[in-house]
Amino acid sequence: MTERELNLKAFLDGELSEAEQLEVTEALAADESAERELQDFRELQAAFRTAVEPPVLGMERTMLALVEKKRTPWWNGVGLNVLKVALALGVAGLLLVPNQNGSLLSQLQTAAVPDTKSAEFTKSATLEKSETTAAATASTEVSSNAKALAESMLQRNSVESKTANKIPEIQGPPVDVNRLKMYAAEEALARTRGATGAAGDMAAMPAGPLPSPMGGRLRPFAPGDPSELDASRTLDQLVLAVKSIAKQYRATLVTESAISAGKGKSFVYSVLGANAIPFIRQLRLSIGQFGSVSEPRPAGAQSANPRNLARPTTADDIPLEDLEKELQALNERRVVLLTEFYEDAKPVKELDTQIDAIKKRIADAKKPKEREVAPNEKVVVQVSVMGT
Amino acid sequence: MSEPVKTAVRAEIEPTPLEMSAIVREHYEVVYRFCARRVGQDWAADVAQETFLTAQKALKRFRFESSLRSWLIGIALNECRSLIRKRKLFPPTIEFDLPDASASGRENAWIDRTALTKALNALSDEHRDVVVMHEIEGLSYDEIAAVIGIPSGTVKSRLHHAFINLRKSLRDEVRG
Repeated sequence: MTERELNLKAFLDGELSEAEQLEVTEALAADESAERELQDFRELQAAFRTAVEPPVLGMERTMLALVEKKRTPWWNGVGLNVLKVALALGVAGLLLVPNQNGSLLSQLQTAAVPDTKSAEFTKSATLEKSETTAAATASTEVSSNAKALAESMLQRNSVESKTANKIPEIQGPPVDVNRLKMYAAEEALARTRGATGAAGDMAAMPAGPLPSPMGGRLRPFAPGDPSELDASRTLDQLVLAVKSIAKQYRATLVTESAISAGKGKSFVYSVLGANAIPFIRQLRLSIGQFGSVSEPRPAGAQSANPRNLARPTTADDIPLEDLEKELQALNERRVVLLTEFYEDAKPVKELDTQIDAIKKRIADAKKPKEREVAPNEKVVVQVSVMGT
Repeated sequence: MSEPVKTAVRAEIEPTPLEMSAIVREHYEVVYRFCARRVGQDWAADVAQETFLTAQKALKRFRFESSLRSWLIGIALNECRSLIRKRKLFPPTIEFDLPDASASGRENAWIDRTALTKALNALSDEHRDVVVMHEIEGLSYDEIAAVIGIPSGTVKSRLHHAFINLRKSLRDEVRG
């Protein structure tokens, strides 16, 4: 492209300086082809001016949109801010008020300090709250002794906290009144079920780490309780634990046999369908790595053929709704991730793998299930334990 | 630009609905047609409305570095691009009020309605944009430069090349 060519269009548009215009005019006078080109450009320009103008629509609507005040919902404007401030003040107030009456928050605060791990505290506090709720339901059956014990502990805690600062110095593990209440309630429940292996004296309860309520193991550790196992347990203790749990869930022993040259034992229990899943869950929690528990199957079907397996088969079954919620949450997370990453980025790919896994589980869950077990129907559960 | 609008803009305050209405009356036609040529008539009103709503929020930040018209067209261009990307739209064909090739005997018979549309569509997006903005929408070189965000010299160059390509396409069409 030459300088003259560049200037020709600009010349036509009057976008050149006077000197440049003069230069182009001279060039045009000397060059006939340039003159022809300029003429063509003129004709093209004229042709463009015949472009059909689209009819203009929507001006009134735009004006209305500009004038119209957009009404925001109260919770999306000042109301939301007021609510946030009120909530923050409320929470701050509850946390900062000294422990006068043994309120739940004060207790949680007391319980949280020794851990010094705020994240864990939050989690455990939430869990304890749920435990407390569960215990409250059962508390109608709490024995008078347990009540008295809990109350005396509550009073002690209250007195201690009155004398303490807002954030008391912790000298040793704290006594958690909610837990005591809960265990008392659980103990009462266990007694009404006729369970053996009582928790023993509550006062003797160690204040160490307590079993996680997520595992469903709400009974306290007590020395000599056969349902509590550790690595040092012998085969006899394992057998005792199994039998204890079986008794607790009114499971009837069908067969008992020795396995692995006397190092292990296998039991077949018959239990009501309604009790089957808690029974299996408790067994698995108690036995842990020292044995295995089979899936329940109808009492008539002794074989382990999968077709005979009764549903719901395991204590680990996750409801379909939960899976779908999880999938939805993952999908939402993916949308957020895609605002930062490309589709083939590592975080997105990892998330995709998780999504695929959940989808597969949902598909599996949606498959036609095997026969359901009626609550009053007997099912058979096989338990094997291996001890030292 | 009307005086109240100028005052509002200079005072860096959000324009009142009345002032905004004045801006809409003055520039809606240009903005609407600009949008219609990029996203089609079906979407033009929506995009034009979005343009003015955005302008209403941003007007207090307008610094008079360009004309209000080119500023509005710049917003409209962004809105159009956003919609095109979201909806995967193609630019609509621009119609010309020219006789067909059958109406021969005219002096400028080498430019015909169909051929011109075809030649315009054959241009690259960059060239097509500057041609439409300058020849059809009547924006000056500087305004185009402000809207697209390129130097004025580049606009000049693009326009010149676009015209050379158009001329070549049309001449080739005539030759068959």
